[in-house]
Amino acid sequence: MNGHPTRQEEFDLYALGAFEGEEKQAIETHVAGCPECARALAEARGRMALLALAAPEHSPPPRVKERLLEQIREEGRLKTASKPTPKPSLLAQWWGAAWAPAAAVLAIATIYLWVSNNRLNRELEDLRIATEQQRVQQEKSKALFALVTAGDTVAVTLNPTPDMPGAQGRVLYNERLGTVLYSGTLPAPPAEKTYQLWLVPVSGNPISAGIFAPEASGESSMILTPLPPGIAAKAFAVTVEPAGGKPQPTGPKVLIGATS
Amino acid sequence: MTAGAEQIGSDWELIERVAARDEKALATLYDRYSALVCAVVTRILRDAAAAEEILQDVFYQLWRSAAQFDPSRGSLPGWLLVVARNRAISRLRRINPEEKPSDASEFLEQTVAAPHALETEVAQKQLMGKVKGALGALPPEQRQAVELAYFEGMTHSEIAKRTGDPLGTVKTRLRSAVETLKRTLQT
Repeated sequence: MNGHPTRQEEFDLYALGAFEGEEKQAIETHVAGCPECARALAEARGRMALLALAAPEHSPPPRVKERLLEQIREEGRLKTASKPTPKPSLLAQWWGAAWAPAAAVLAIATIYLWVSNNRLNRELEDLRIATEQQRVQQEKSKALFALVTAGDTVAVTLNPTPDMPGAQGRVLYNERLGTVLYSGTLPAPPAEKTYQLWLVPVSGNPISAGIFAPEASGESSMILTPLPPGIAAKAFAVTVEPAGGKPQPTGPKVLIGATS
Repeated sequence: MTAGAEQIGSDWELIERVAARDEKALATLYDRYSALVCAVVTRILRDAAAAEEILQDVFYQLWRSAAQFDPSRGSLPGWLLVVARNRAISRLRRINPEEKPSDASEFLEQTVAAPHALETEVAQKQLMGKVKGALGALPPEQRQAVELAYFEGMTHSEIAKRTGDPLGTVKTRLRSAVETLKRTLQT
């Protein structure tokens, strides 16, 4: 059908469903592009729909309405239950997408920096310790230099006692500087024992001037000990004491020497 | 249909409320037109359970697509009756109800102009009498052809096969019948 249907009843017959095949297709094709015939067909559909009123009356049971209302309520519940979590805005998604790789890089960088920082901290601590050791060494060197070069430093020879024949030692002491240097050769001390140097003042009890323990017999030992300045020394002595030393001498003397 | 439902509002006012998810508005429209829909579907299928299923389905479709209804494009009872009949005929003829109609037929389905107001029970009763009278006034072979077409969903050739009459005769009978009905129902 290329033009309008020649008779208006064509639309009624179409609405009734009497047409089939090419006849049906021709009307559908024409009406789809012809508002005037579409209107005519709508009217024909309305007329033919009235044939429904010729059917014997039949009221639906109440259960159909109840099921219908329950169906739409159930739909509402499902929609509420399955309501998706709000999606982030497009900007937020873009922002998130843009930052995702950056966040990964940042995480890697953070780990790297943390490891690096730990390494640097360790290096810094090592450096601090080394510096401290250097500083102490430097202080010792300065103290030693000052002791050796000072004109008022006295030298004291320590002589072995009968309990330690062959041993020897020497002390440099400066009362003004409060520094004492011991050097000597002694056999290794007995187990759980150590050697302890004492300053025997002119008056009062001996004052500890440090402990030392050569690992092998005949090994030279040297200790530099700071003491409170101004202590007049009468003599120096080395005793054998329990490991860690004692506040006052308790063990046998192995070396002793007077300052004058 | 209840007397109260008739006072609630026009079809299109109610459809707007249904589109706004007003359950009571749907219930009112159901009360107004469910008997008409149920009658035609039951007549076509002669199966109460299947008819109830289609009745519920048609009003559920109204609930879901109320927002797409355009008052300028037709009448609600016309649309309900056309959709209900199509579904019942499809069921009767064992056509897959899930089969999507062509775009053209879907468009046509939704454009149903009704020459008569059917919003009140009184109007419906009056029109029922008029339609039954018009159909009953047709010659028996014409009335049979119309009923086979409308309630059985038969085409010209199917009617000819059922009645044993020549195809041309069936076409002439049916054309004469719709001409008569058109004149009768438009007055």
